[in-house]
Amino acid sequence: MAAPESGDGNNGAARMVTLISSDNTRFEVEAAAASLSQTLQLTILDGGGGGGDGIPLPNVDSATLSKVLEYCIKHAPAAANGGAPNATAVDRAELERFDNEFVNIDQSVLYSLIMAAHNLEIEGLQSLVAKKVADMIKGKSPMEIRRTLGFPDPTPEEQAEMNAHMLEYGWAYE
Amino acid sequence: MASSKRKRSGPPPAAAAVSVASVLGNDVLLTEILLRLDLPTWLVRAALVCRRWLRRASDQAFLRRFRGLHPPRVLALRVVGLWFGSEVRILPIPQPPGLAAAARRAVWNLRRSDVCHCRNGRLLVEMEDPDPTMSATYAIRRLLHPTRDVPLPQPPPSRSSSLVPHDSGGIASGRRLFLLEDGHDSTACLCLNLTYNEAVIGADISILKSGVSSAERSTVTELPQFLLDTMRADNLLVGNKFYMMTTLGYILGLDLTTASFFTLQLPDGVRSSSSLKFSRPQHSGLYLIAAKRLQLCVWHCDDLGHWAWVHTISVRKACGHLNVRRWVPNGHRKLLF
Repeated sequence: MAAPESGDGNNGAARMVTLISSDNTRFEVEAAAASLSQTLQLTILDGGGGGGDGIPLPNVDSATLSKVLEYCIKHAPAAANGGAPNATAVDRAELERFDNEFVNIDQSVLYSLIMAAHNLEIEGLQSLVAKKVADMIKGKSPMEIRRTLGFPDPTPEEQAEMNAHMLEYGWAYE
Repeated sequence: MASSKRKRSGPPPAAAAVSVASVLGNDVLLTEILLRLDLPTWLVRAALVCRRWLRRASDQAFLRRFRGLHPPRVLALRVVGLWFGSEVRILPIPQPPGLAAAARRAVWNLRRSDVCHCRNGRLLVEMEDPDPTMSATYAIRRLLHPTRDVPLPQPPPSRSSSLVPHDSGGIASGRRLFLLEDGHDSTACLCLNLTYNEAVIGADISILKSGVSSAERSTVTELPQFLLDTMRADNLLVGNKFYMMTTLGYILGLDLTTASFFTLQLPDGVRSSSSLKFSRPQHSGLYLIAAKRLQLCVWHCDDLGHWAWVHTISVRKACGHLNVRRWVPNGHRKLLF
C-alpha cells in the first residue's frame, strides 16, 4: 500500500494532497510522494493537505518545490518498499541514473534544494545534494573551493591566515 | 588582486546571494557536506577555507563521525624478522591518488623513526642518543609533523629484577613503552618492565601522564618456559590489559588496573605455538591468529574469555591485490604483523 489511507472512501485512486509554494503556486501530488518529507508526513497523517485546503510552504518557492517534487515522485515507490530491499538491479541503476542527472544543475538551484530538503526533512535528497556539493570541492585548494562556491575573495587578514595554515599542512596539498 | 573591491567569482546573482550564506552558514548542512569528503586530505583543505569551516572540521564530535564513515586506513606493514637483529622492513600499502603523497611522506617519517609503539598516527619513538652510556630517552612523534616531537619524562628504573631470582637458565629483562588511549593526554603512556627466568616472570608497571610517572606497581607469577620463547612471544596491549603468548597452552595476561597476572586458555583445537599472533579488536576483546602454511585462522575472544572462530583467510587470495612484490616467502621466512 503506497499511500496512507485517507478514509474518504476514495478506494483505488491514490490519495492526493496540495502543497502551496511561497509564491502561491499550488502543486497537487500523491500523498505517498509528499510523505518522503518527514515534516509533511506528520501533517498528512493528521489528514491535512486534502480537499481545497493545501499545505502552505512559506520557505520554498515554486521553482524549487517543483524540483523537490520531481525527486519525491521518482523515489516514492522505492521508499514505500521500505528502502526497496527487493528492488531489482535495473530499478536501482535507474534511480542512480536519475539522481546523477537530477543534481546536474545550476549552483543556485542546488543551494535552494539543499535548504528545502533540510527544511522539509527529506533525508535522501539532503544526502544527495550534500554529496554533490562535496564532489564539487573534493581535491581543490581552499582558494579554489572559495571560488567554486562563490565566496567573496578573502580579506588580506584571512589570506594571511590561510597561507600560514597551508604551510603547516603542506602534506595535504601535494 | 590589486582591486580594492571584493569581487564575487563563480556563478552568482539572483537566488545565490540568499543561498550560499544560508546553506554554508548552517552548521547542520555544512556538516553534511564536509562528512562526504571521503579523504582526510580533502577535509584538511576544506578546513582552511575559512574560520567557520575550520571550527566545524576540528570539532571532536564531527571528527568521530568522519572517522566512522571513513575509517583510518592501514599505512604500511611492519615486517619483523624471526631472529634477533633481523632488519625491520616497512612495506607501504598503495593508497588512493588523493592520499598517496601524504602517505609517502608519512612512510618516509616512519622509516626514519625508531618506533616502540604506534596508535592512530602517533608514534612513540626512542630518540637517537650519541652517547651510548646514557639510558634511552623517548618522545611522542606525529607522523606528519616529525619536527615537533614531545619528549617524555625518563621512565623509572626497573624493580622487577628483585622479584625474579637468577637461576641456571639465566635471566632476561626488558622495558617496553606503549601509548595509552587517553582522550585528554596525547602523551600518556605505559612503561612496562618485564624480568623473567625459566620459572617465573615479574612485571612492574608505571603510567607516564602529563610528564609525571605514577601508579608504580609490581607483580610476579610462574612462567615455566624457555627464555627464548618468552623473548619471541607476541604481545599486545588492549585497553588496560597486556597479553603475552606462551608455549604452555594458554595466553598470559596482565591486568594493569589491578597489577595482577591472569591466564586465558587457547581456543579448542588451536595448538600451542610461539607463532600464534594477536590482533587488535575493533570494539572489545582480542583476536588471535593462527598461521598454517598460507592460511590464517582468526579467532575472537570476548570480554568473558569465550572464543569464537571468525574466519579462515587464504593469504594468497587476501593479499593478491596489495601488490606487495617484495613479500615473497623464501629462505629467510618472514612473519607479518
